[in-house]
Amino acid sequence: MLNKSYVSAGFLILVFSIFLSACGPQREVTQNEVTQGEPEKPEELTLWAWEDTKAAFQNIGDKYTEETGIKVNVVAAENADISLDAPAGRGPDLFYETHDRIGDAYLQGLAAEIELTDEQLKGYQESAMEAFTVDGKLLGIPSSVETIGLFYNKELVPDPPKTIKDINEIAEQLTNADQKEFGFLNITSDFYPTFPFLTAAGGYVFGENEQGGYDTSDIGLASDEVVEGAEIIHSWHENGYIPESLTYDVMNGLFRDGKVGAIISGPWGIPDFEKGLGDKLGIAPLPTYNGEHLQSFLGVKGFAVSEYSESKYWAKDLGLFMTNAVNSKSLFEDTKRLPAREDVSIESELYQGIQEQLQHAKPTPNIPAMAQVWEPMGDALVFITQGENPKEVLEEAEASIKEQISLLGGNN
Amino acid sequence: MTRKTKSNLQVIGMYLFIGVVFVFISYPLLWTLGLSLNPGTSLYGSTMFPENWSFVHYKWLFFDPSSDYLLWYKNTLIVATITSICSVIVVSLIAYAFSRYNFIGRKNGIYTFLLLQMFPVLMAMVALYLLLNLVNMLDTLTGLILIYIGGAIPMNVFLVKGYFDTLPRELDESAKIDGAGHFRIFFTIMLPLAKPILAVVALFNFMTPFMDFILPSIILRSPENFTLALGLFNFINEQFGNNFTRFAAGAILIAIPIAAVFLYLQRYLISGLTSGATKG
Amino acid sequence: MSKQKHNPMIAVTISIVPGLGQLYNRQFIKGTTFLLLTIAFVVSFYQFLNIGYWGLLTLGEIPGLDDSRVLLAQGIISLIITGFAITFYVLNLINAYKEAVKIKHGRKNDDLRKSFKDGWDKSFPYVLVGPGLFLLIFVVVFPLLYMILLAFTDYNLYNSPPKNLLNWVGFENFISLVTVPIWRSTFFSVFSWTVIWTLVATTLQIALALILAIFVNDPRIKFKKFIRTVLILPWAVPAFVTILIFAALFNNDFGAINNDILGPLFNQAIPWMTDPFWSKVALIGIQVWVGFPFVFAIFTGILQSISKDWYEAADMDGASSWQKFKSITFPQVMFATAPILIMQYAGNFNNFNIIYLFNQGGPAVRGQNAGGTDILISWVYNLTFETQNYNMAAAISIVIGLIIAGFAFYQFRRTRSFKEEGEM
Repeated sequence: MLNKSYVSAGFLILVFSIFLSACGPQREVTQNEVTQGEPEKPEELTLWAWEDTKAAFQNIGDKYTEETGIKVNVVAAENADISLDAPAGRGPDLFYETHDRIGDAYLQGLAAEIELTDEQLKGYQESAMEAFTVDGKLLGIPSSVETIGLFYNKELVPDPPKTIKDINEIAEQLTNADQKEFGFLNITSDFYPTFPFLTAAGGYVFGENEQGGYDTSDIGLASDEVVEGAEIIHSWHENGYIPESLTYDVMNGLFRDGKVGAIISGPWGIPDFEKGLGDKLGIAPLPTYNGEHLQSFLGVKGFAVSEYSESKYWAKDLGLFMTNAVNSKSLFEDTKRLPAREDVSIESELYQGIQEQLQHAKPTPNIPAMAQVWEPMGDALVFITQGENPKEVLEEAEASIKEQISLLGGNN
Repeated sequence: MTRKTKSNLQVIGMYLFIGVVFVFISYPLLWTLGLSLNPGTSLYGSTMFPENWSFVHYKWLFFDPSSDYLLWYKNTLIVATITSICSVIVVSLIAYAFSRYNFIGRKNGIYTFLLLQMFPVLMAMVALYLLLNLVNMLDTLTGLILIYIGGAIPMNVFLVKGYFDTLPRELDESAKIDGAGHFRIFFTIMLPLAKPILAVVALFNFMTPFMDFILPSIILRSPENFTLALGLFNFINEQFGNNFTRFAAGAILIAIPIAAVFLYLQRYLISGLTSGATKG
Repeated sequence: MSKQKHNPMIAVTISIVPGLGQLYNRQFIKGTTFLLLTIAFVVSFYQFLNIGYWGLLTLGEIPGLDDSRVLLAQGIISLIITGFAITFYVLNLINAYKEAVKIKHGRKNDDLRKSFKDGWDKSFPYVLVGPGLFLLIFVVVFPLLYMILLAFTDYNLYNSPPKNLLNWVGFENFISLVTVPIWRSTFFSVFSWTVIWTLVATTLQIALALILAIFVNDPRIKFKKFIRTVLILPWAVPAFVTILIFAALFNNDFGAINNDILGPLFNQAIPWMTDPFWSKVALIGIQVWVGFPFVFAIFTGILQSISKDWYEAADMDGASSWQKFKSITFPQVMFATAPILIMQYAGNFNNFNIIYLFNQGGPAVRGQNAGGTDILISWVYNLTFETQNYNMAAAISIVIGLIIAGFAFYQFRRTRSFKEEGEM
């Protein structure tokens, strides 16, 4: 037989030689040189957008090309994973992102900090800028803002309800569930459109810490004020105004077909509703409760500069160009996204209601802990609609949120 | 009861059972079809038999300038056809080795891989991305095809090997004595006899690319490389763009080529019966 | 040099550099080829392996520049390449030794043609299996290794590449799996429904497929082609489409099943989406609908391989249909497909898609972190991806994989021992 020890010796020598050689790559850490003035122009900038805005962005990009000679390549990339693509060298220079995901992008080191001069900052809405600020660093240039409003059918509801009491009245009058006719509908199992009602009397997601950031240990979703809001939501189901297994698809379809007096929706629904309702579609701000305006979540979309871009200066420049006053206006005309700027006025009766509600909207917290809030709160809302004790259910939800936040492992 | 009436009753019972299954199968399918003919976009308000039905969604898929559907269709057909053909070749060769030769790993090889494939792999998808990026095959149909072929080997080899095992050994041994080479035996004796199971393998591998949206979503990036399932999934996954009716139209069009291929391959599935006599 | 002096040990020793042993054995072509291959290997892979092993050990040194995920992948590929190299290396040593022994015992080297033919015969099965194995190692083994290694790192939300470097943390993740209450307590409560789901849904789907395959295969049944095609249709529509459509059909208030069927016929509405029990019933029904055609297709293929003679012999003995089924069809089909069926069980155990797409694991159940229909995998992925605990996701995936693979291994062994009788 073959002498085994020889084979083993051979093995060892081979393995050792490989491990010994595994001393790693030789490199030097290069500091990014701070260049004065304008760096050299790149030939092309890649912008990651979504399918629905691709064409509009490309139009603005073409204008940018005319002005600067830099080609702008807009890619529909809602499914691409930037955390893999960017380091692999397939990423964009600039990417379109919602503000509530910018915290994640920051933790992964994907969004570069953007420094703007006062001159450049002028004209943007402060709350939109705030939404893109994490740890005191600006990570995105806001492009558009959105929030929910009260969409109503002018034929069924000539005067938009001003208060929650008004809402209950039209629900009482118009609801005929057997005929699939409803006075007022809202997806009460979704925390996003239900938050304003839940916090009608007061309440908040995260409190503020001393540095002006969010304090995740302070959750304000189980206070007596919130319970008061929960009672309102429960009453809608108890009185049979809103069916239990309502989905967005069903609600939007019913509303479009003129069978619902009013629903809670956002600007993204307008084109579809206009098709069905035409001039009958009206949009009002959310109603008041005890004279106070209901507070909705503010969503901001904007452009972030990729940390892996080789021409960050020009990426930022393009971001500013995409969101300047002229182009914000043309973006609204193309895609109906409300500009995140103060110096652009939109004259559209339909969007008036949303714009009014924007005055009472606060950004969704942009910290990653926010992702832990949606599901427990959605579940809690389901239990509330089923008639469980709101206080208990909300406290359980808070505990569950805290537990999941603790799983995140960080110290925020 | 005579043997004849008993047999007749049995046949009627079988037809009845098949009939009930037909109803259960067709109900949701007809719904999908009806949905695709509804002019609206939402599930609600759509009916199984729409009054004012229209081909508007089909038209959109084929003719709208912003629709890449035809391109996706082409990509999927390319991937499916190549995957199917290559798999049949690779799988039957390996199965042949497992059925007729002795080599290291023969005993446990297939089972080991079957077991390994039971581990949930959602987490491991990232690894495939990194691998393909390393060999420069990210965002290519070639990369997708290779992964489909590789992933399907263990189970398909198992099936085909099982079938080869039922073919009598005397056939290839006598051919060997006549001086036929390894490949000749394989191509002229084994392959033709294994048609039924190879048809099954071909069908499986043809279908996977039509069904799977997870793997393509990891490794395909440009819309011009998308496969049908991925593109379709995006229809309903887009943030606020629930477009169920268009989605249904796209899905119906997926079912057609698959049903066609199955219909075509049935010839081989059934040929097993007729050639059964020679196998005896 | 006399034959007796030809020393196999020398052949092996100098084969530490592959090819030299063969040259010593006076196989000049072979030796030169080996030598060249070795040089080519070292030259082309040295840099890759170097970085690979360094990356595997350190997971990178400069945050932002080194991407731990990429280094990990490269490290594993280096391991795989090394594995290939060692295999060939050992073969080279064995070959040098054997040839040297042959020479020592006075056998002349075979003439080229014959040695080529022998080599071809011997290596033929490897030629057949080789390319497939190569693919499998990269498509199946590599991702699995990657996941296993991830389970030993600290890859979570606050330590995400590319900004941060990953670190090796040993068994920490597995320890917190047992010590952190949320993981442990929910794990067991979800486990029982997972098992029920797997057994009931899969068994029903196999039973239905078997019955239909046998019926359609019956010579007395006509329109086989048509029937088979219809039966395959549920499979021809992508499962994710069907599941979403079913979710709409099952909607309590607006779905067709309550509104168009149960309402008019029985004056009843079942809370499919909001009652855990009925959600489970609906899910099992959908899975049977979606899953049976696959098994049906396999069974149909396998039924062709059962020799007709057996049935004829049984007919002559006056066997009934049931007897024929029990003693011929059933054992034959199970014999041929047992592992495939076990795979079906395993697949349903991990059937994330249907649970997630139908109702996101819902309806919600009070006082429980998981939804009413969540199975292990859907609960784990929901929680780990929401909280971005990738390290935990990997660790739990391994645990789930071990459970299901352990069960399958046991089943395989049972069916194997039964099968082995028929082996050559």
